[in-house]
Amino acid sequence: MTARRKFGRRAIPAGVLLVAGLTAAAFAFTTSGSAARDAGGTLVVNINTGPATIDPRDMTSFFDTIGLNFYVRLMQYGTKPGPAGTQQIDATHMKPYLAKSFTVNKAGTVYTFKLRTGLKFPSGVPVDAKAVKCSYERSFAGIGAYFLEDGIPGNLKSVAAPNPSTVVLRLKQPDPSILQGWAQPSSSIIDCAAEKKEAKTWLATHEVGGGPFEMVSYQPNKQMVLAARPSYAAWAKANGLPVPRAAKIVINFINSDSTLLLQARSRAANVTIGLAKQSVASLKGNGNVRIGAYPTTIQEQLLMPWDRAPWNNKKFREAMTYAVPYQQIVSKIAYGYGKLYYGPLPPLMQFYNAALSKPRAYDLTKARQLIQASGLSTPVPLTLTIDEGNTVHQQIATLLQSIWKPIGVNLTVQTLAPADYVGAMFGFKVHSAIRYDGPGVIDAGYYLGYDMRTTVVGIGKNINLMSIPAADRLLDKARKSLSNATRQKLYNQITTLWRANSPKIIFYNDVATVVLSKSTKSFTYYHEPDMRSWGT
Amino acid sequence: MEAGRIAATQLPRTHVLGRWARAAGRVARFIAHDPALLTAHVLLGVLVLLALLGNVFWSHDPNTADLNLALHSPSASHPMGTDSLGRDVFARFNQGARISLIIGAIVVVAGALLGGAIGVLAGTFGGWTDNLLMRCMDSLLAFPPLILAMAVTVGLGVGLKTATLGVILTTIPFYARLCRSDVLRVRSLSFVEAANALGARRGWIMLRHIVPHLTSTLLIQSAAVFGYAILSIAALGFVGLGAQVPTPEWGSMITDGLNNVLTGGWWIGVFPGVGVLLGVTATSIVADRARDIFDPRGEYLRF
Repeated sequence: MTARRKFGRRAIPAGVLLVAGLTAAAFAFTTSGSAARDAGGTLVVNINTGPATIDPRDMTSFFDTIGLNFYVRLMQYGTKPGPAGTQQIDATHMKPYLAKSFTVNKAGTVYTFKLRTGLKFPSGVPVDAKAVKCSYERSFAGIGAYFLEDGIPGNLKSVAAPNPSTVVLRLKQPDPSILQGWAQPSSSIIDCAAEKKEAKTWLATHEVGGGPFEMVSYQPNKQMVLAARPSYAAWAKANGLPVPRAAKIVINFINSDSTLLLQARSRAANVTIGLAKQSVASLKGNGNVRIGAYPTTIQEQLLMPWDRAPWNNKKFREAMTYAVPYQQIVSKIAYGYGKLYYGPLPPLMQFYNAALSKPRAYDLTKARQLIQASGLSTPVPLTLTIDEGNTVHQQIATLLQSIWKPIGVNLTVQTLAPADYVGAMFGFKVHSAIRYDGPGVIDAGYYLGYDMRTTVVGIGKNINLMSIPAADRLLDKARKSLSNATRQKLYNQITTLWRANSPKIIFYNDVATVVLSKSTKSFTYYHEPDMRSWGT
Repeated sequence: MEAGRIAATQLPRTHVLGRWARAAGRVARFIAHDPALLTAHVLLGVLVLLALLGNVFWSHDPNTADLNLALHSPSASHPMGTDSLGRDVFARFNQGARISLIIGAIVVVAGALLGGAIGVLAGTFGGWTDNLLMRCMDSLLAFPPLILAMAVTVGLGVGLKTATLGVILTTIPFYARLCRSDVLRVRSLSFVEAANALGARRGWIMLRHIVPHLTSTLLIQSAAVFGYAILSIAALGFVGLGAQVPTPEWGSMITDGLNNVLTGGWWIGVFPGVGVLLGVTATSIVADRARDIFDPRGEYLRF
């Protein structure tokens, strides 16, 4: 018998033992995770991506806005009952937060806020009108200005603090949705004196707030631990505001969908955010979890930059909107967590008109005829850019590649690393791209201001490079109007014009999903993760 | 005299042919007597068959998506099931086998030619040529092979071609070092010294007397590199640096499968994973036994 064969005889049982050992260890790990959570009563939140910054001035993505939990703002979003016994955001009812009350003049250009008193930063400095003024002025130096002014750059003429409990904000033109701008994470009130003592980028990983939670520890892209701030809790109770429900929140940033799923299944996490829809769907019927599904204003869409061939051909754009199996994509790729429509405004948005925004049909014959009518010679070459690691985008791109080939469109899929993908899109270098996007401010004017308007302050043009001048004029009128009836009429006209131009493909309107463990009794879904009401 | 000349030239040929026939017979007996080696050859044969003829006897297009057929488990109509886009996994497996085997062959040939040439030049000429070439090889060896392949792929642009280039680059120093040491060994043998004494040029000695003696070394190394190439390409594909959508490369298929394994669609990643496992294991066994055959101290020569 050779040494190799002897080795084989020993290696097989050893391998079996190793696998058994690893399985046992994995089981023990899972069990101990559950046990630790149940014993400690700490809320564990698993999220698929960590924030790039938690500096209120620079927060843009959903993940960045985790930072809003350290601060208070003048206003806050209202809530309404949601699915599975939870609450969800109601953007049509804005409520005062740090503000006790506010008045607005007849022209809609001067807002006077009376502030609640008694809240202090950890440094002992009061969270007052002076703090509001300096926080707003600081945000103006960053991308936060865009949110603070509700997407009308330069509209906030002045911020005045005539006394410690009064703030006066003057606008150049009326903006009926400006209150949302002042509920944005960028409008968070910081301790300016404490911030000035630190280095320029310090606030990207630290906090100087007086809000519901304080930071216990933070390891970027790994974990953030929050603890309820006692001074805030006392102040909130005295003012009839919700007190943070969880004493401690451990937020884990986990990139692996499999890990997120396993932890959700094993109850190692109370709240799981960012789980792939396929994984969420696999949890249906699992008695350990509840699935919250919340309508959003975010779209999965295909950009067709208008300034380049073949997208500069209106007939071709129209053709491609008929060459997408929308219903199948929603049921098989979004696992039912999507809503179909075709128009400039998503269904959740005020002034959305369902009758005018009916989804496009999947009709390859019509698409073929329209391509012929476009005068373009087939096969038409196209390059579609997607972001690496995004399974949904990869699946949609691969599907389109297969479906479009027989109708004479040769699609090449280009996969870029996330940073390169964003750079290529905002550098207007993509031939076409699949994009997941929605507005931070849930308002039609704000959204179309950057998504449809020909010129956009800050980036120059809308990312789809579309231009419908008549719709731009109607949008400008709508943004100034204080009458809901007038605004509805104007947005209806915009919808008609938009559809006639087939500016892009909208695969579906996303329905956000959150997986909650059985022990998580209280949860409110916001489009930004405000964790005040989350708890067991 | 004429007949004698003919006989003189034919004798060695017959001798050579006989030697090859005997060697082939010995290899066949060797394979037949070793169950592991026989299994390895059968597995490789099946993979080659699927790669070459898979699309002939299995007509499904590996890239045609049909969401109505998405995530069907293995059945008679889809022996390896369908993926999340309704594509036939068996058709993709066959295509993946073709890609893996072709790339394995390209890496083996290119690595052997380049690495072998560097090793022979360094060993034959010695001196500063040897120093320069070997220090270059050392610098390549300083990086973990997969990291080097990833760096090359990222640097040149993600894709199957650049991934193949990256993998080739990582195999060159191993070939070069092995060949150089063999050249140094052969160079000191008496027949090379005799050729030198007769005034033969170094280039001639290198090609005529040294290179033929490297065959066994190159064969053993190539068998090992073949498995390494399959595994490396799959690894690069797995991390998204190899084949791009919709190319059905085994590594990227495993990545696709990973998204489905916990949600019930185990077959999407498991079959290409088994393909990689079998391909690599089979080539490893072949490489291992090839070393035994060519190693004069090996026990297998006793049969």
